[in-house]
Amino acid sequence: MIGASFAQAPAGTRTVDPVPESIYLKGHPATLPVSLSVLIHQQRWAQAAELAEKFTLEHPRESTGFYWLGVARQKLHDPVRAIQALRSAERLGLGTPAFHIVLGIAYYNLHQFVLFEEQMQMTIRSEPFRYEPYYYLGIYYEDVLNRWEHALELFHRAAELEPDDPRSMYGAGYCLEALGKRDEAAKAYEESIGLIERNSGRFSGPHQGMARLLLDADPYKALPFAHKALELEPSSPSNHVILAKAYERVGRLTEAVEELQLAAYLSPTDPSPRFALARVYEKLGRSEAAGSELQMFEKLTRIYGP
Amino acid sequence: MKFPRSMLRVALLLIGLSQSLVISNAQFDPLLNPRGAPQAKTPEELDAYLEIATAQESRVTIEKVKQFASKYPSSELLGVAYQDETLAYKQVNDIEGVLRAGKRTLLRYA
Repeated sequence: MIGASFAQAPAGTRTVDPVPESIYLKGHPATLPVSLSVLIHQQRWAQAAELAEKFTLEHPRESTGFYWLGVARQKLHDPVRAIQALRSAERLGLGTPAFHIVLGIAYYNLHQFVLFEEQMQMTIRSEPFRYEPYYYLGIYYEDVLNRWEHALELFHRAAELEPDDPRSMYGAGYCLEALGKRDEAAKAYEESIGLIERNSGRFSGPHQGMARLLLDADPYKALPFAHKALELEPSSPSNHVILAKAYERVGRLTEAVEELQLAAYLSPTDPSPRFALARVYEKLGRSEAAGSELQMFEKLTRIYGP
Repeated sequence: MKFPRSMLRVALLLIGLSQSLVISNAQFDPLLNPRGAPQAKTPEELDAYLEIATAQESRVTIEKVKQFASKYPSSELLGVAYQDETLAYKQVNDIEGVLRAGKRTLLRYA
């Protein structure tokens, strides 16, 4: 059985880093022009895209410029033009395993899952001991298809291949939570938290997961996990939501409102913070504000809802 | 050229639809919904659709949709391609084109 708080987690919205540095730096074997290399290492993606595009015009038969143009466009959240650039690189002969992951992630971000899976399978065939394709396939099976058992297997395989990565263990915990195995989920989250602490990582998933698990039974214990999650990733709307829920449970309603307002600001198309805001306003006796949030919730659900 | 009244009504409906599709590019694009997104079966099919989606000129869009429909008649992306075609006809003020492409769009989503 899925816990009530879990059921409120937004579906189909799991964030995927457009392209992690650990992958994109290995996607192309050629040495980069120094100017482009500097921009990439400084993560100045708009300028990098501009320079890479210039490079493609000067060297239309080389895949280098197209590859980096594709990476930069993904970083700029433009999956359509990222795919076009990456496909040009592929037509020019680029086909490293890391390249297939980069292209696969671009397909994922455009919700082209058939092609995404194909790219991940290509990587698995050429480098079966690489963990990333299993991890991304795990996200797909968990977040889009909600096939928790299969996603769990994929996350376990990823964690087996890269035991230091906290995200795979978190993914496994998330699936266990969805399957109603809350104790096992907590163990997976704790393990993931241990990895984050050892590597000074900035990933908030398992802290948020622990807060979610503790929310109903012991909201006072949930609070520090929710605080830590927000400290690790302050721009994640779901971290504000979980902290707000913990505040609400312990009666700190004004602080709950502040967190929910931030969540709504950070994720303007997500109806769930609006619903939570309506509920908290109602508890505060602010019926007019509650009504207005409820209206907004209904409007957003009609447009963006499942 | 004079249109029969009933045809004009359909035209107005489709123009209304095409105007809502202007918003659709930002807010209601089927590709934005992960669960219901139409899927390309091959990279080449998606390449061909993305050429439509990124075309800068309406005439080019219209031509590319024709080519796409002929090459990938069973593509799940045909519905969004016809939406693009409807908008393109509207851009060039071709009301008959809006009617034809709009009907094709409606048939894909029927």
